[in-house]
Amino acid sequence: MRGVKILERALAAIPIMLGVCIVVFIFMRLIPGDPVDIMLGEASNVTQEEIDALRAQFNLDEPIHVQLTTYLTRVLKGDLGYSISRSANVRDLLLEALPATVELALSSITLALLVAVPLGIMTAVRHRSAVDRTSMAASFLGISMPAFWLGIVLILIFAVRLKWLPTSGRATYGFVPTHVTGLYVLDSILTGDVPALKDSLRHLVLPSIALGAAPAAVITRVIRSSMLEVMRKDYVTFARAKGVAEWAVILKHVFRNALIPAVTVTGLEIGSLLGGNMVVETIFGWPGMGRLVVDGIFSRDYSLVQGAVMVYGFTFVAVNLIADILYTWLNPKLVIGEKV
Amino acid sequence: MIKGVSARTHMRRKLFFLRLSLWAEGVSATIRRLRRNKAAMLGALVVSIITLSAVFAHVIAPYPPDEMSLADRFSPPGGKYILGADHLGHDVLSRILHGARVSILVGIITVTISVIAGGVLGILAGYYGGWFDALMSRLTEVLLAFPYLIFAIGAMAMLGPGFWNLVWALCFKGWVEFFRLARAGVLSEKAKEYVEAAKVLGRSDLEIMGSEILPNIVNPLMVVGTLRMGTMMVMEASLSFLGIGIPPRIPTWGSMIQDGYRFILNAWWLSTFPGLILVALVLSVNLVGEGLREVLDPDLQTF
Amino acid sequence: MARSRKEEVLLIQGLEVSYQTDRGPVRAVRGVDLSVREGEILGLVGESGCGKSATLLSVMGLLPFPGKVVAGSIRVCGADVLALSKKELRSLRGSTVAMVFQDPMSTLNPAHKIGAQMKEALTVHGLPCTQDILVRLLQEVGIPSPEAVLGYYPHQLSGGMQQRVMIAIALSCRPKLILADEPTTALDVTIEAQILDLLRQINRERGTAIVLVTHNLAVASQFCHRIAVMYAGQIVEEGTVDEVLANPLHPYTQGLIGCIPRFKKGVPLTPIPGQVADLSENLHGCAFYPRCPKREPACLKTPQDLLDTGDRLVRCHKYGYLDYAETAAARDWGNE
Repeated sequence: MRGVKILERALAAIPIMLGVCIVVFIFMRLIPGDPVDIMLGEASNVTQEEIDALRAQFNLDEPIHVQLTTYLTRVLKGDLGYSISRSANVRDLLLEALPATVELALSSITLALLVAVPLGIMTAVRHRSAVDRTSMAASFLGISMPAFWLGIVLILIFAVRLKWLPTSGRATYGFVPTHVTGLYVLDSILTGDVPALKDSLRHLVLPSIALGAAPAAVITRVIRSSMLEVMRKDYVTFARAKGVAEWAVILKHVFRNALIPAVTVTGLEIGSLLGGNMVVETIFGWPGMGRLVVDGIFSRDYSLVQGAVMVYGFTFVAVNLIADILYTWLNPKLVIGEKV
Repeated sequence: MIKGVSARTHMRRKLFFLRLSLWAEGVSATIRRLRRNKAAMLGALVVSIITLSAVFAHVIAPYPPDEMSLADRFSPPGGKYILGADHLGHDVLSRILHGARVSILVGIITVTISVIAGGVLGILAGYYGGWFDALMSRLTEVLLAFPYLIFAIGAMAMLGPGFWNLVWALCFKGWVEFFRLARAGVLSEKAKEYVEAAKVLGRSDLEIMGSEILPNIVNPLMVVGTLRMGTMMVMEASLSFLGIGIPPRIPTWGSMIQDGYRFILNAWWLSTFPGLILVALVLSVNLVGEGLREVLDPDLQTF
Repeated sequence: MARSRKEEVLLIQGLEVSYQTDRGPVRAVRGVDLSVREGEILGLVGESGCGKSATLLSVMGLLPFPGKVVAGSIRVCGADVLALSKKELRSLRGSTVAMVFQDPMSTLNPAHKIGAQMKEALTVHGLPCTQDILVRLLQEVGIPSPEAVLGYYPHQLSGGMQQRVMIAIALSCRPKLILADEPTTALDVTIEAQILDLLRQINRERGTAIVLVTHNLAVASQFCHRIAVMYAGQIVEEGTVDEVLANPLHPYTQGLIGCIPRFKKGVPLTPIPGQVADLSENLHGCAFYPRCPKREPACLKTPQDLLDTGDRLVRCHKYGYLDYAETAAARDWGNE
C-alpha cells in the first residue's frame, strides 16, 4: 500500500517538473529582445542573413507553441543549450560544477542536522529552562541572519584575523584528490589520501557553517515544537505508565513521532539552502553551480542561467519528493488495511 | 418603496460602523496584548528607530551619502567617521542611514503587493473552486518548485537591476504563500454555518467574501506578512550583494556588504556594520511577527 | 462494617495535589483517603475536574507539569510511591500497577506496531517475550486472530479492539492493581459492556484489584464493589455500591443519582444546578454549598469532615455526631 502511495507521489512530480521547464521557457521569452539580439550584442558588422540564420538555428522563426515543444524535447534529451561566455555545452558545465555544489549542500545539511536534532530534543525535554531560552534566542538570530553576511564575518574572524582556515576555494593547489565522484571529501577517503582529506575538510568548514546556520535554526524549532506537541499525547503518558525509561520514552515515542513533520521541513530547508548557496559559493570562491549562475548573469549568458535555474528547480522537486517518500515511510497511518 | 431602500441603506451604514468599531476594538486589543510581549516591543522599538532614521536620513546623516573624500579612503571607525569610510571615502554611517530606505521600502512594498495579490486570488480560488482554482493551484505548485532566491536571481537576470524590477522579481513568487494561506482559510471557513446563513439571507458572493470570510482569515495573512518582510529584506540584500539588485549608485546594505567583501583583507568595518544593522532590522521585524503570531494565531506554523 | 482481612493493595492518605498556574495554585485534590484491597473493585465517581484523574496519576507518579503532590502518602503494595527513586518508581509502573486510559485511539503510539508496543511493556520489566506469550495475552482479552493483530498498526484496529490491546498491555506483567481512567467513555455502549465484562472477568479470575474512574454512576453501580464519590478534590461519600445507591446520604450523591436517565417514561431527570467549584479558591465549609439543595448557614461554619456513619463515610455535617443542641445553636446563630 505504501508502494502505491510513493509511486503516486513520484508521478505527481512529473507535471511539476514540466511546469518548471515551461516557467523557465517563459522567462526566456520575457527578456527584452530575443536571444539572438543579445548574443550578437554590440556587434554591428552582422548582416540580416546571418541574423536570420541564427534565428532559424534557435527556432525563433517558428510559432511560440512549436518553440516550446522543441525546447521541451531538447530538455528531455538533456540538451540545455550552449554557453556563449564559456564556449561549452551548458549541460557539461553544470555537470562539472554539480559535485562541488552537492558536496557543500550535503555537508551543510549534515551539519545543520547534527546541531538541530540534539538541540531540538534537548530544548523540548528541558522546556522553559535556561538552555531552552538561550537556544531559542540563538535560533531566532540564525533565522534572521543572511547567509552571505555570516560567511563574511566568519572569513573575517577565522580566516583573516585568526588565520585558522582558508578564505576560499575547495582545495589548496596540489591537494586535489584523484577524481572518483567529484566530492573531494569522499574521493580523498576512497583513495586514502589523508592530506587531501584534511585540506578539503578545512575548506568545507566555513561555507558549511554559513550555509547551514539558518536551516539548523529552523529545524531546531520544528523539532522542538513538534516534540512539545507529541509530549502532551496520551500515548507518551501510557509509555511512562508501562514503566519505560525516560530516555526511551523521548526517543522511541516522542522523537519518532515528532520526526514526521521535521522531515517535510528539512526537505524545504534544503531548497532554501540551494538558494543560499549561490551567494555563499560566491563569497567562498566555491566552484559550484551557484558561481556559474552568477558569472552567467554578468556575462549575459542566458542559456547558462536558464539551464542552471532549471537544474535547481529539478533538484528541489527531487529533494521534496524524497522528503515526501520518507514521510510516507515514517507515517504508518498511510498503511491501509482492513479494520478488525 | 424609497423609504424601504433608504432604511436598508441606513441599516447597512449602521452595520458598517458597527463592524468598524468592532475592528478598531480588535486592533486595540491586539496592541494591548502585544504590549505585554517584551521581545516584540523591543523589536517594534528597533524597527521604529531604524525607520525614523531612514526617513530623516538626509537630516541626521553627518555627510551626504555620495560625498567622496579620497583622502579619507579606508578611514577606520572612530574619529571623523564614526563607522569608518569606504574605498571611495564615503562615510559608512551616512550610507547605512540612506541604505535603510531601500530595505524598508522593499520590505513594505513587496509584502503589500504579495499579500493583496495572493490574498485576493486565494479567496477567489477558494470560494469559487473549479477550473480557476485548479489552474492557480497548479501554478503555485510549479512556482514553489523553485527555491525563492534562485527564482529571484533568475528573474533579475532577465529584468536587469532596478528598484521596481527587484520588487517585481520578489513578488512573482512572493504572492504564492499568501495565496495558499488565503485559499486554505477560505476552504475551512466556507464549510462553516455562518457562510451558509449569509447565503440563505441572500447576500452576494462579494459581500460574503469581503465582510464574512475575509475578517476570519486575515490574521494568518498579517502574521506571515510581517515575518516575510524580514525575508524580503534579506532577499534584497542578497541580490544587491550579488550586484543584480538595486543599481550601485543607490546606497544599499547589500551593495555595501559587497564593497566590504572586496576589501575584506584590509577594512573589516565595511561589511560588518551594514550587516549588523541588517541583522538587527530583520531580527526585530521577526520579533514583532512572532509576537503577532502569539496574539493573533498561536497555532499557525511558520518558519 | 465487616471487611475481609485481605492485603491492602493501595492505600492513599491525606493526598493533596496542586497545580501551579499563573493565577496561583489550583488545589485539584484536597486530602483524599482511599484504600483498595486485593480483589476489590473501587469506583471513583465524580464530574470532570473533580480530581479523580489527578488522584490516579499521582499513584503512578505521572502527574503532568505543573501538577505536584504537596502532601499525603501513597502506598502501593506497601511501597511508599512518593519516596521511591525514579528507577524504583519505573519498575513499579506497569508491573505492580498498570493503567488503562480513556481514549484508546490516542493512547497507543501510532508509529509502532501492536506487537512492538506489547513487547516493550514486557521487556522493560525484564520479562521474557515470545510470539506465543504475546498471542496468549491477546487471546486472553478476546482478540480474534491475534497473530495478525501483532503486525498491525493501531489505526488498523477499531476503538474496542484498541482498548482490548491496551488492557492486554496493562495485564502483561500480571499487575496487582489496575487503574482504569474512564476506560469506556470513548467507546460505543455495546463495546462498553464488553470491555467492562472483560475487566470484571480479570478481577474475578486473578483477584486483580481495580480502581475505576468514571463520571458515570450507572457504570460504577454495575461494575464496582465499593464506590467513592468525589467532589471538588474531596471524597464526599464512600460505601458499598448497594448501600450508596439504595440510600445516598450526601446531597451531591443524591443529585448524581437524580441525573441517571431511567429507562422509564415520565421520570424527569433532575440536574444539579450550578457549576463545579473553582479549585483555585480556598474552601470555607462545604464545597458543595453553592449547589446544594439542602444547604443551610451552618454548612459554611466549619470545614466538613468525612464522618463515619457506621456503614459508610460521608462528608456532610448533617450526619455528624454533633448533638442536637449544638446543631440547633449553630443554626440559630447563623440565622441572626
